[in-house]
Amino acid sequence: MSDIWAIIPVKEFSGAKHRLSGLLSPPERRLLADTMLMDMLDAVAGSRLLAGVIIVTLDPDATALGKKIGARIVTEGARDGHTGSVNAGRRLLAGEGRLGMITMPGDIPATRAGEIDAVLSAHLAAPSFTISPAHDDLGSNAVVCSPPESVPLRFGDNSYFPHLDAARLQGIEPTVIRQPGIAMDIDHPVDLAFFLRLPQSVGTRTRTLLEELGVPAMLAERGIT
Amino acid sequence: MRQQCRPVVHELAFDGVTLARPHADITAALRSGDVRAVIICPSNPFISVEPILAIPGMRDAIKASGAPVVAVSPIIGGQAVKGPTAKMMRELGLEASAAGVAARYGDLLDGYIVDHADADGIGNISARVTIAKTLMTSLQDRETLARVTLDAADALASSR
Repeated sequence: MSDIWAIIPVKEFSGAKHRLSGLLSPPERRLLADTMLMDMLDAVAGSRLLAGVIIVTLDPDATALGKKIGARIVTEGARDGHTGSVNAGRRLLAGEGRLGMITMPGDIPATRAGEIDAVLSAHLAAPSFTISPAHDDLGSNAVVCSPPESVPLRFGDNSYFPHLDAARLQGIEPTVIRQPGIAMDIDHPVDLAFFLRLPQSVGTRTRTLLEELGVPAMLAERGIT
Repeated sequence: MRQQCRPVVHELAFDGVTLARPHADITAALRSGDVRAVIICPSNPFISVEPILAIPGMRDAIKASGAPVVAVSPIIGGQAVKGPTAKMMRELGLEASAAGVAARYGDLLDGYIVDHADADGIGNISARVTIAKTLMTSLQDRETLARVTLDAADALASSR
């Protein structure tokens, strides 16, 4: 066991995924966010190398889902945005003397347990930093830090290359590991088309939901492939 | 070979290459649509890889396959792990670096695997870079690098 903990920040599901509002109604988007988190938590729970899971959230559904897999629910920092939530989790782990953390968002539902373990296997001994970028090389979809606060983080739409620079500023050579499922975050309608084409999406709850909601046909109608 | 690459390299030419043709099995495989990835191993780009790429039609066949092309850098920290790659690059007036090898392959590459020691130079590489331990000293290292490379290829394939 590596004593690396996962930190997953989940903002309140109401109002989630507004970039998909042209395609899905608010209740559908909420259901999608909920379902994507379930897939994420399945992956995290299946990892052989994680020591534990922290979910930073105030959302009652996310709290209930987290408790099912034995995650620790942290509310401190949950209103401070994605970066603030991750930092609250990191502070907690650092205070407890944990050796490291991996943070991932709740909206990369093609992530598999084996992908998380592949990222953790490539992670070097502390002080170290490993990143698994989004498919567009803009987002930072999985970030591993040992110790938990080894590198200052700032998430956003364009954080991948700044995070590489931030690691180097700390004198740490980053490791970059690409994983198809981790890379596939879902923000825009076109991401749903990418996701549905991805072999790693087969068998996920998210894929089943998208099919039930008729999303493949909706995307085809709009010419999004 | 006999002189162990002691003479200075000025130029590389592959005699008769214009008459060569890719093996039919290779072109058939590349056309099949079943190729998960084309991986260029960390060999000497000039005397191991380029003789293959120089065969008329080879680059086009690789590009047309639709499979992601991922190379593993043969240079670690500005040095070749073995063989005369870095020496040849300097003598040919090229930058002996991981980025220099990527530039040599040009737009053929979708992905490129470099070692931590070369992470500083990745800003000059147009392919999507993966940074991992590329020095293979054990069977475990070989397996790990193979997985990292295939995962990178899969990630690139899915984002097209």
